[in-house]
This record gives sequence, structure tokens and C-alpha cells, in this order.
Amino acid sequence: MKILFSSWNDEIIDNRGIDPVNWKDAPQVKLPTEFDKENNVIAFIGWAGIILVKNSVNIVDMCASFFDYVQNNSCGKCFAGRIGTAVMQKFLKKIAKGDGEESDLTHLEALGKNILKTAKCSVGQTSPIPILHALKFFREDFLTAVRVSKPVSNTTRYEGKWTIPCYYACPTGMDIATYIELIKEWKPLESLRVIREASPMASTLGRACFHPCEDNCRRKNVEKSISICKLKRFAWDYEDLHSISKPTNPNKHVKEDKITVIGTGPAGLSAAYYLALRGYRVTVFESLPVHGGMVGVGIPSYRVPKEILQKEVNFIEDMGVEIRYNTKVGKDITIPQLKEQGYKAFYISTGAHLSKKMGAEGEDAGYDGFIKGVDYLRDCVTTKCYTVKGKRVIVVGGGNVAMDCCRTPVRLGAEEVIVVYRRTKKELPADPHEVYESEIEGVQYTFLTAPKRIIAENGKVTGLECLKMELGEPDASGRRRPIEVKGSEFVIPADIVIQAIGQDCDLSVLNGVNGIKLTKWQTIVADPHTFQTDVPWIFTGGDVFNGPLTIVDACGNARRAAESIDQYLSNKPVSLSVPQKIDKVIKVLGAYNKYEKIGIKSGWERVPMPTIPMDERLNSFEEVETGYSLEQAIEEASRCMRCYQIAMVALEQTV
Amino acid sequence: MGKVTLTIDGKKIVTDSKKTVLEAATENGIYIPTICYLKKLNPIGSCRICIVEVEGAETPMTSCQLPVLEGMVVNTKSDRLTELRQTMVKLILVNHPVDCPICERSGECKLQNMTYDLGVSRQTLKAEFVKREKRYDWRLVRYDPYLCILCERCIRICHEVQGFSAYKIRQNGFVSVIDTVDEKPLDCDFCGQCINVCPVGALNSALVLPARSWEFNKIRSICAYCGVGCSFLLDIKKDKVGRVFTDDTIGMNNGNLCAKGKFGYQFINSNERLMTPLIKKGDTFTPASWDEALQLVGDKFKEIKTNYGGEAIAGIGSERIPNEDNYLFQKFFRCILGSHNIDNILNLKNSGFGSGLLETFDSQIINSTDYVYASDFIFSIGADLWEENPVIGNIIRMALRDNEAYLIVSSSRNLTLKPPPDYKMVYRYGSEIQLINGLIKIISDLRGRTEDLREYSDHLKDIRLEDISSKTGISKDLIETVAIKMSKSKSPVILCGSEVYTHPLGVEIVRNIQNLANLIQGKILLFREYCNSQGVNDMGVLPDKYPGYRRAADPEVKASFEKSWGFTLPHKNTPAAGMNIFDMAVNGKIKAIYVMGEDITLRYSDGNQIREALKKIDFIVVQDIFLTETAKAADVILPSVSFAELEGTFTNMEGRVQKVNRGIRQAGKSKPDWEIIHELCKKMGTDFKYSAPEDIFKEIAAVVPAYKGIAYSDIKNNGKLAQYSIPSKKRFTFIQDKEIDGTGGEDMSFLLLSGNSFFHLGTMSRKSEAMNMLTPECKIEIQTSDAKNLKIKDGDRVIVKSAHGSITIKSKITNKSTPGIVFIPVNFENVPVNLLTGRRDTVTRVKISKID
Repeated sequence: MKILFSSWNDEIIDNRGIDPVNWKDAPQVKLPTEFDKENNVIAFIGWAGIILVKNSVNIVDMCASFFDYVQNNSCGKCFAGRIGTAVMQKFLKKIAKGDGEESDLTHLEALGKNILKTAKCSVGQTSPIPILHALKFFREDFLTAVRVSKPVSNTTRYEGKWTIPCYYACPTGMDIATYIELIKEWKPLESLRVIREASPMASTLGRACFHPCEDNCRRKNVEKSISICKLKRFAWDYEDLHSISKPTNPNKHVKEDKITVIGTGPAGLSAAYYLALRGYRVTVFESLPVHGGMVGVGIPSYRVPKEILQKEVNFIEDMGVEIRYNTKVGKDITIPQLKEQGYKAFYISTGAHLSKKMGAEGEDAGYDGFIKGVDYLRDCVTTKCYTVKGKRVIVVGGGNVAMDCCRTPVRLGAEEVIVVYRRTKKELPADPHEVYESEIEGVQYTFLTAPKRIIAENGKVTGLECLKMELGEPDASGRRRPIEVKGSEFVIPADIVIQAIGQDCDLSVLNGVNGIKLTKWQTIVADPHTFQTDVPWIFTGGDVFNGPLTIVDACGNARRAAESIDQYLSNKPVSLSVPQKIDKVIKVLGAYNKYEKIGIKSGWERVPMPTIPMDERLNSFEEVETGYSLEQAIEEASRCMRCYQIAMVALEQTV
Repeated sequence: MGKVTLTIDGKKIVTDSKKTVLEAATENGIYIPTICYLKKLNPIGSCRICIVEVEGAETPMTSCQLPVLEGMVVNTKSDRLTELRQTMVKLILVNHPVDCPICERSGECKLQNMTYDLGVSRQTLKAEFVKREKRYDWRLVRYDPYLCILCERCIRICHEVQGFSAYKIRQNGFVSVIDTVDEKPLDCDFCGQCINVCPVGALNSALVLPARSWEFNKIRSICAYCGVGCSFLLDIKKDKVGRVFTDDTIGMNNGNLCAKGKFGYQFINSNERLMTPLIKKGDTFTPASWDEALQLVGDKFKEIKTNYGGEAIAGIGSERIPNEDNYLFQKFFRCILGSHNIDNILNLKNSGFGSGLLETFDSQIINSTDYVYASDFIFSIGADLWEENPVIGNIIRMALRDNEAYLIVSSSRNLTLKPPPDYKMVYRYGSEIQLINGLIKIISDLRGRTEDLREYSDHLKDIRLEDISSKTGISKDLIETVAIKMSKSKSPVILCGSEVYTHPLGVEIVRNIQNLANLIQGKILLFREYCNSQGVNDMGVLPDKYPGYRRAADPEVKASFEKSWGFTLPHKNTPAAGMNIFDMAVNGKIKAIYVMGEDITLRYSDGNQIREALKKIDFIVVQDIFLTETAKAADVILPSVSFAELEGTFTNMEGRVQKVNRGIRQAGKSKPDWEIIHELCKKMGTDFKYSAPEDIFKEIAAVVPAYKGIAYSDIKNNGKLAQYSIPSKKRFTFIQDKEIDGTGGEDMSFLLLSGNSFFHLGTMSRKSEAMNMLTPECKIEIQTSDAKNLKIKDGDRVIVKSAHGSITIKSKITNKSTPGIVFIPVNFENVPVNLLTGRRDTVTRVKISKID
């Protein structure tokens, strides 16, 4: 982008004194200029430097304001961060007031450098950076402030916010560094309290989350990321194992308003939880006899045991949530009928449970032995699992559903399980950890292979005719597009073919509702930040909004949607708060720099997750991972570097 | 644990892979400065002083948190590190006034030392002045936020070791201070651990410090309150104990203390101490010389011995006086007076835990607390766990932290514990045997039969968990859950508290606990009330046992002691069944009594009988440090000394023999107990020729088998564990449940329990202002719904009436009591609880009525 100045990540773009027409581009800087409808971002100051969109802030004032914010938000946990930033604040204030001396600049610089090297967390390790940049590149402004001896202009509106790379990557906005710190301080229950501020599903997420946080963990720049996901599980397990009474809801049913939530998946349950905590009366409708949505009927119990999920659901119910099973909204009862019964707001989170077609010949022929992946997994929970003992099983697809579909028959005595995927291992969308586990459990992979025709004899599957593929140019998703190799047909003999190439949404939930728009992928359209649909009293989230995505996205959508529903029912504008707007800015700018050099000693490896032995895995649906012990959890948590970093935007009123 | 090799300051070091760089350096004599670090707490890296340079890393790293890694090269000293460390100290001094001349901790302050060590002599930094509030509104603890460096040691020790989690950091940034979690005045266990660990002068005792830290003479000693036997340091100036401090490297308590240990020392220098011998003339006590007083006692004893025989003279030894003095006491009785009529209160209450210790129990019930710290499963029964032997609580909490141990607390009282245990079992008083049988049944069913259990399991067959559940009042599910966890544990420990050792079925309960322990291969720890409850019994202050629990009635034992001691010893006649000294006194058989360091009037279980007995006894000698209720009835009072003025050994609940060191001169003309007895012997014509307690201890080690091989001079920091050889017997003996009948009329529907209140032990703590401030008065604890039925409000005065007597007392409404049970503390001389209880009561029932 074209900007006046940037020192972000130490890449200097300086267009001062240059005609804007000739401004150098700053390709790495992705600062959105719109803050909201009324305000534009004109400058950004934070952990990695300074960005000036145009020449309309006083740099001294911005630095002083930044340090006011830094000091007020420093955690107080180390000498350097707590007092060092207070001393810097004092210097900056003094200079901004016009009381500064030239020697103050030297002191400020020296102290800033020392704090960078000594502070416990990134607040201290990064906050002096923009000040040092300012003293270097805007020294004249500081010298002027010192020499003129008059207060600098302070008319700009600044808004500050902390972030953490892992936090910024987490769709639920969980304060990860805090919950990890609390584990380290032997406060697992406090830790769980922090986790529950962002999601009631610590156990499910701690077992089955695909943890984008860990891909954005600065410890990865040193050796391996923190085991953020499994530490969450530890906190939940600790509460569970030590049977300590769980928190209760002090606001249970304090409000009269009734709310309908449709679907007991992670989105529905999370929304119900946060609405219940706000005092609403929440009824959750579930079409199946079991709860959990994809977590309940998709994820097999060797990853999330059913009794664990049951406890999580019980916890949410105890907050004052009612679940009605075997009630399909749109068929058994419609949204308009429920509205007549007095429900004031609706949250649709029906997920994506319809198997996508793979476009192979014979898939609609009703062959015995050809199964849709999600149906296969669901039937294993609700009715009966298709018999695979002694059979050869092919799973088509490379996502997480495919992983669950291949690791399940392994446990049920299948002779051989082969995953057929049209790209290479590198492009597998499934969690690499899942792929790894499936491989050690004996699943085989056939890459660059696409299904062409299901082969059957007397209505029973005997094999799958496939085509070889090769990779071409990248497609819209950025992955290289697979292209058929002409004449490469070959047959893989099989007794069972499971298709797991993706899911569609069942939108019958909307029967009788007018005014809701759908995307071309047949998902519900809503504001991507507030999750309000075009029908103001209907909100949505999870797979029915995202398309088949992740548990944690569903949880994140729901947390925010609950806030939106609360805003709506309290007759407030359904909109983001200022900190949420800054988060939005940071989401675009990025809070994690994978090229950053951390400068500490590497080699403190992640504590491996204990698992059950292979022979126990292959004969049962026993949970594979057994969880960290307290000692292991504390050690793993101790690796965390507390990467809090502080940012501040300067705003310009546009109207 | 794997080993790694690393280099620190050029020195090659091989160490455990679980260690930190700081630990590895310290162990190898390499000094890294620290302020916030404390070995027993999780490191948090707050002060940043311990930073080191690691080759290959640009940023210095805190060595307290940095694990050792293979091949790592560490430098702990460099100009850059010094500059950074200096900056840290300068930063902390931005807030911290250099008020060293008026600061209590000056001279021992880590910040003061660090400032000097690092050569910080000028301040160049400044921040906005922030007004902070000094806290004078907390009891016993004062907080000065200007001096506070927020190292969080107080927060951490209170959370990790004390389990109370009283503190937090309030607010963010420079303005942040330490506050209580609820921001109300501190209301905690008042253990003072936060003060002990504060590296600066931010947290201090509210008790006035009479000297600068460097003026104190530090004497290592053993706490003279409860049976844990914590080591601590008495800080002494001019024969005055100025404060009590700790050292994490000495003793079994790892530097932990409770409120009594930390703040309960004021009785030592109390102005109520007895300073001179007193002889009762008419109704008043007249000061006398030692010569005069001892001559009188010696003459009287001789006269009574001549007229009525030695057995007419009785003696009561003490659970809070050292072994040497107790040993000499019984030797005096047996050798000089020719009397076996000596006893101690613990044995009088329940001889199974006194003289019968080695005969009654099949396996070791005296064990080291190391087992608790190493345990993964801690089961307590009948203990007010955090209160009665508080530092055991610290050890438990460290096991919870370091081993993720399970804690299961069973009690007839509904205890509120911080942190909460994993499971709490509140049983009906009297159903303990049932509860244990239930656990045994489930575990043996889980494990299948073993050879040992064969006969036993026939009994178990008849046990129905439903019955156990209805008798104990604990759900079947809970009993099962606990049993399953117990059965899976690797190193279980069972703790038996005061409710067990004061229980009418106490011995049976402990024997059943032994069955359970044998089944799960667990260790038992029996709590002890006083600092030398164990030792007084080991020393043979018992009517039927010589030192070392050797039977007095056994002629061979008699012969052996006659040989060792060189005296003709009296025969031990078997007294009439169940007759004790006070029964005999009431019957007129006891003409004189010599009471050493024990307030029998308040502590003996039958308040009416003891008062009657003392009336009947012609000549009463009381040797004590205060004018106790018993001393008031004496004919001669001999002033003895507190633990701070003496030397000797205590044996704690683990059987750990620990040395008490003399720190101050004896108050007034008072003398150590052994010296008084020694002098008295001389007056009666025998000179034992002991010149110091060490001489007596040598003799103890020779005649008490459990103490064999312990040399007095070898008893150092962690004491020496006595080895009780308990003959092995059958591993499993089925214990049949018994009904316990309460004594009391139809209208006496409440069961009375009594014991120590948290901040008191016996009546010694009553002479310590700080303890009285925490618990100033005696209150009967009544359960909320009971109180409601009786229309009693908190603080109302009530009359408590039993078959034996009645007392008037204020009430405290609490859910710690369970319905139908009331509790009265025994620590208040103005409320003698023993007037309500009878010596032959199994349990006492009382009627409670409100005074209108």
C-alpha cells in the first residue's frame, strides 16, 4: 500500500518529502484504513514499529499516548515491564508537555534498549520498539518538542488494544497466553475460567481443535509451538479428574426473553452457553437423538469420547439451557411457529451434514458397500456401524472427515484401509497430526488419484476405478489444481468405498422464513462480524454459515453472535466494540511474523502428548491421547513466552 | 531422569535434564544473583536479575526458568549483564524509598544487598509519583506498598504452599499493589509465610520488632506447640524473643510454619511467668528460695513414703516437656520414691495411643512425613486437616502441587478447606469402622482374594454397601469412587487425626485403618497433639511401662532396669481394672502428687473427678511456667522454663527426635525441669550426677530400644528418626462395628465434641497476645439448622448441660458442625469443658438452651 511512513517489522518505507504521486509502495504493510463507518485509521503504532498513512499526527504525542496505554496495560509481572515502562512514560510525557531536555532522549533510548532485553513478556520486549524507531526516524520532531518548550498538539483520537499472535489467530478470541500462564502458576481452575470466557467447550477444543493458534505461535520461531490445544484439555481434565465443583451461572434465567438455538453442534452449544450466562432462556432444538453436531456424530470417540462430550453438554445445560432432541426445525416445527410461541431471537447453527457428491459414475446406483462419509460416522453413533471386519476399505477425500472415516474402520477390523486423494500429501487439508496418527495406525495413502467409477457386481461394490492426476496451476484456494492424466485409469479392488470429499448444508431449517439470502455454496448470508442475517432477529454461525469449516470457527462465531443477539434484544445497535474493531484491523495487518528472530536459545522441546499403545488402539475406540499430567502441563506451559503486544490506532473522523 | 552436559562460565557441568540453569549453577558453586526466586516455589522470572547469556541466543534469558539443554554454553557474568541487572535494580528503586534506617528488614533485605552487590550508587530514573495505601487494617500482617517489589513470593507461597490463595496483584502497571483477593482486610490462616518469604520490608509482622535484624542472635529450635515439630529460628536480643523466622534448609517443615509457630511466641517473655518458687501459706502463695521449697517437697515426699509407701505419691509428666526431663521424672519416681504411679494425659485419655502403642497395633503407625510429600493419594480420617497439625497441611499441598496427588478428607465435621479436597466424606460420628469396612470391601472385590484375606473375606461377604451408606450417611457412589481411586494409587498415605485418637473406639478405628493400609500398601501417620506427646510415652511416664514400653510387671524387665539404674525398683502391682491415679486419689490412696508441666485441671477428661481428687490429695506440687488452674491448687509451685530457655529433645509425631536449643537466660529464678528434679533428688539423698541433658539422653539411648544408636551430638538439622520395632502380627483382623452409647439424659440430644481451636493449643497460646487477638474467646459451634431450631443467633449466650455439669458459653453458628453435633474448644480456662464430660463416658450428650 501507499503510505507516508512505515518502520513495521524493521522494513523502512519513508515517503516524507516526496510527492504522493511518487510514493514508494509498502507491499508488506496491510493496514486497513477504514476503522468503521465514521472513522479512518491514519496511523498505527505498536509492537513492530510505526505506520503513518499520512502526515496528520504528531509523532511525539502519539508516542506519549502509546506509552500511557502501555503502562496502564502492563501486567505488572516484571520489574522491566512494570516500572521501566512507567519511567519511559514519564520521559515521553515530559517531552510532550514541553518540559523535556535533550538528554532525556538519550536516557529514553538507553532505557528502551535495556527493557527490550530484559522484560519478561513481549509488552516490555516490544513496546519500546516504536519509540526507538520514532527517536531514530523522527528525531527532529522530538528535538523540536524539547527546544520549543511548549506542549505538542494532542488533538488526535487514539485507541489501544493488546493482542497476541495466538490470540489473533484464534477464531474465539481466547486469551491464550493468560490461560497458559495460569497453568504454569499451578492455577488450572483459574486457567479454565479464562478459557471459558471464550468457549465453553474446553474439552472438545482441547482434544479436536485444529489449533490455528499453534501455527501462529512465536515459540515456533524458536523450535516448536506451544502445545496450546492440549493444555486447554489439561485444564478441563484437571477440573474433571479432581471432581471440584464446577462454576454455576449467577444470572440463570434472570431475563424473560426466550431464544431459540437450532443445532447442538459447537456453534449452537456455545451460543446457548453465552446467552444463558447473560440471563436469557435458551431452548436448543436438535434433529437427532444425540447432541454435539459434527462433534457428536462426526468425530469418533477415540478423539473425543462420548462421555467427555456428555459432561461438556451437561455443564452447558446446568447454565440454564434446555435441549429438545429429535425435533427438526423446518419439519417438525418451523421458525415462524416458534416465533409465535414467544421466542424473540433465533440462532441457526444446523451445520453441514449432507455428503457432497464426488462425481463418480455409479454413486447414485445404491450399491451395497458405497457409503457417504458423514452418514457412515453418524450411523456409528446413532444406529449401527457398517460392518467392515476383514474388508478392504477405500476412503475418498483428504479432509478431517476423511481422516475420521479412515481411522474408524482401522478400529473395527478392516483388512486394509486406503485413502484416495487427488492432490499430494502436501496439499492434504486434514490436520497433519491426524494424518500422522492414521499412518502409524496402518492407513495407506494413494495420492494424485481421483475416483472415476464405482465397480460393482450384483449390486455389491468390488472396486473403484481411478484416474491418475498431476498438479497444474494454483486455483482460487491457492493450491495447485489437479489435472487428469488421460488414459491412466486403474482399478483398486475394494469391498467398501466411503466418500468424504466435503459436505453441503441442509437448509430446510429455513422453511417458512422469508428474507434470508443464500450464497452460491448454499450457505446462509450474514454480516461476517456480527452474524446477523438480513432478518434482524435471525443470527447464524458455524458450518451453515461458513460452509464445512472447523469446530473453533463455529465456537468463535457463536461467542460473537451471542453478543450480537444480546445487543439486539437490549435494543442496542448490533455492532462491534472499539477493541473488536482494533482486533479487526490487526487481523488484516497480522500479529504474527514467521520471519521474526526471537533471539533466545532453542532446544526446549515441546512435551510429547502421551498416547495409548498401538494394540489398544486397533481394538477399541479408547481415547488415543491420554492427556498431560500436572507436571507435564506445567513444563509445557513454561515454554510459553507470553507474547502480549500492544497496538494503538490513530483515528480521523470522516464526517 | 536423563543427564545433560552444559558449560556455565567455562565450567563443564553434568546435571539432571529437569534442572534449570540456575539450579545447575547453584549446585556447582556458581553464584547468580536473584531476588524473586525461591527454591520451594515455581519460578516466575519477575525480577529479571538472574538473567544470563546463552551462546547462540541474542537475548539474555532468566536462568530461574531456563531448563538445562545439552551442549548449552552459559555465561553468568558480563558487562552487559551487569548493566542490565543494574538497570533492574534502579527501576525497582524508582518506587522503593531508600528508608533503610527505619525499615525492619534492613540488614537482611535482598534488595539492599543487591543494590550494593551490583554497585548501584546513583539513581537516574524517575516515574510519576503514585500514592499508595499502607495497610494497617490487617491483623498481624502489615503491608507497605512503597517497599513492595511485586516479586509475588507472597502470592505464590500462599497459593502453592499454604493453599489459601489470599493475595493477588491489584490493578495493572506501575500503580499495581498486592491486595487480598476480595480486597477486604486480610482474613486468612495467619501463618505468616508471606512475611517469611518477603525479600524486602513490604510485609511485616504487626508485632513490634525490638531490634535491628543484625542485632539478633539466631537460635535454631523446635516449635513447642503441636506434634509436627517444626524447626525454626528464634531471633533473640537481650533474653527476649523478638520474632520467629524460618530457614528452608532445616527441619522437616521446609521452612513452613503455622500461625502458632510464627506468632505464638509471646508467652516466652510473658510477664505472667512464674519467677520464683512459691509455697502456699494459708490461702496465699509466698515466695520462697529453691532450697526452702525443695527441702519442703523432699521432706513431705519422704514422710508420705514412710507412712503410706511410695505408691501413695503420684506424678504427671508432660507432653510439652523434653524427653530428658520426662525420663528423669519417671526415674525419680521409680528409683527414689518407689512408685509406678506416674502417667501422662494422652495415656490417661486413651492408653492405646500411649502405653499400648506397640502392643495394640500390628504395623508401623508412626511414619515419616516424607511419605506424605511423596504420596499420590492422601486420605485423612478424623482430622481437621488444615488446622490441627497445620504444617502437615503444607506438606500435603506440596504433594498436591508436585505429584498431582488426590486428597480425600473424611471427618464427622463438615470442613471447609482451601484448597478444596478432591472428595469430602462427612460421616456420622461413630460410623468410622463401617466406612473403612466399606472401602476395604470394594477394594478387595476389585483386587480379588489374596491368601491373607481368605478368612477376612468371609466377613466382608456379609457387608452390604447400602447398609454402610445408610450408617455413615455417605452415598454409595462416593464410597465407591474413593475406593476405586484409592485402589489405583501407587503410594497412598492415611492420616489419622484427633477425632480418631480421642474417639471411644479410636484403637479399633486405627486397627481397621491398618487393614486398609495393608490392603493398599499404604502408610499411616497418626497425628499427635503436642510437641512431645510421643516422647513422654517413649520415656515411660506410664504406670505400667518402663522407658521403651517395657512392661513394669515383667520381673525380667524390672531386673534389667535395676541393673541399669542401680536401684531396687518397686514391684508393679496390677491395679484394679481401669483404675487410674485420679480414681485412686478419689479413693484416698494418693496422698501426694507431683505435676510437671501439665494443667490437669483443664486437660483431664473428667473435670469433676480431677477437682475432687485434688481436694483429697494432701500435698500437691506443681512445676510449671504459669500459674495454671492446677497450680492454683498446689501447696508448692516450682517455676520451670519455656522451651526457649532449655536444651533437650522432643520426639514428634513421626518419631523424629529433634533438638531444642537454649536461646535465652531463664526467667527470674526459674530452672529447667530436669534440674529441679535433679536438685530434689539431692535433697532426698541421691545425686544422679547429671551435668547436662546430654548425660540423660545417653542413658535414654541405652535403655529405650527405639532410640538406640542415636547420639545426642548427632541430632542436627533434620533430627533422627526413632525406630519403633512393632512385632508383626496377622495382616488382617476383621474389626466388628460397635455401637457407641452416649451418656446423658433423654433431653440431651446433642453430641459434644471438644478439641483445640485453630489458633490455640492447650493453654500456652492463651498467654500469647497475638493468638488471643485471633481467637479471643470460647464459643460453642452449633450447626445452622440446629441453631435455627433452638432459636439461637450467632453470639447468643447458651447453657450447655450434661449429666455431669453445665457451663455457660457464647455460641457460634457454623456449618462446620454437622446436625446434632456441637463443638467446644478446650483452650479457655474460663470455660472448663471437662466439667461436662465424665471419664467413663464413651461420648457425652448435652442439652443446649438459650439464656433469655
